[in-house]
Amino acid sequence: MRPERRGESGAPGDWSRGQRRALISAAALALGLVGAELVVRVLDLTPPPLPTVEGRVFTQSGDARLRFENLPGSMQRITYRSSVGARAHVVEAHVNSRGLRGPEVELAKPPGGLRIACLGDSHTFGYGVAEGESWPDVLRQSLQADLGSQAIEVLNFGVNAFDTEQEVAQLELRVLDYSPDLVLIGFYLNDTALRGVAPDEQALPGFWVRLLDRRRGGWIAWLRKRSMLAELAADECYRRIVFDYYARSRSAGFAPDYPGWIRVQAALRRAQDLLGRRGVPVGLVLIPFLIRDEGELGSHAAFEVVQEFCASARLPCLDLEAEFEGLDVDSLRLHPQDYHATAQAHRIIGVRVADWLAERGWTGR
Amino acid sequence: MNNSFRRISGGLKTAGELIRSMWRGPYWWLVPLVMFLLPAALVFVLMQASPLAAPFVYVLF
Repeated sequence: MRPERRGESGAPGDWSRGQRRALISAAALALGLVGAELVVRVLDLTPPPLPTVEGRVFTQSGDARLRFENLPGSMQRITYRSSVGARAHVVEAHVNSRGLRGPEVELAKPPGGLRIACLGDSHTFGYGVAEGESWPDVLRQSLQADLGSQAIEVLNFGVNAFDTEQEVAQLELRVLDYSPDLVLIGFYLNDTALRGVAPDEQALPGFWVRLLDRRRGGWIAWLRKRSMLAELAADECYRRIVFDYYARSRSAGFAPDYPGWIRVQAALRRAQDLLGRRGVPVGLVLIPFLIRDEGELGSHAAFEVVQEFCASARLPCLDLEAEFEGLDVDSLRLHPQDYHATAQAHRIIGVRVADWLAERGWTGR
Repeated sequence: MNNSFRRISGGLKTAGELIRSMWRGPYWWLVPLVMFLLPAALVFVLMQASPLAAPFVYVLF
């Protein structure tokens, strides 16, 4: 390295050329940061605050296989805001007296009607969407529009955080009492992460997640409170790290020797046999993970494995990835840090499921 | 994500060498310019999903 030369006067205490350059560079960086901060503030690019959740819609179950289930007569209210202080968008979820999401239903099927039972987790329950907006609701509306005067009932048995084994247990313990004409099982990327089975986790970059978590205090909270640029950068990095980890670790749960996937296949075969003996068709609805990476949704590889299984087991299966082709899936999630679908995404799913049922001749037309 | 970090750290190493060579030569003034533009680049990366920014990104690049 060349030795640094003194300034023009050469007097001791004068700044060297290197120091002057460093000062100018630091000033330029500071100016750039101030400009970026202004852009973020003027365009209001800060991420929306986390929603507030009031009320609980589940309770401990008396059955060990279910572990927990919907709390009859309960209600949950979730409040979303696009920015701090902005007008709130409030969503309410009601569970009826029988523990199903939606309005009251009779145990006995109405004569001449079509009754469809939808099983699944929060993506079927419709976490974060209002009454009438979950995909089972949209399915009912679409079928009603197609079938006219025929009474259509779509019962939403979705329970937040259920896995496939719990759903099949629910089918055996509760759903068959309702004498459904058709059963649909909503399937999501995390359904092989069964409770009691050690997940095949790949290491979560814990340092970054802890550092960038919104609930963390200390200097980073101080910085995020004062700088919208810092808030935006931290939030975006956190989202990318967590969703990338989630897609990787959950996709690993579809390896042929993974115990969770083996048990899920057994549970699905059991449901198929049980319903087959009663002459009730059953179909699997693959609900996509709405994060796109290199052109494919995060659930793409895992759902290819599921479709192979369905083909070998002759279990009808609908993959919805094609319905989201070319769409901005980031805008179809409830919140940047939430992977649940918006009402618009539920509508896409519900309409496509209705078409699929008609294509298979399951609606009687 | 680990792969991303590795890619980023590799890229940063190259960028560091480039900046060091600029710093020592007659084009040292490029360094403050890069420093000024870095936060702007960060904003563009963070804004890439924003429909508001899309038309400007298309015009600029």
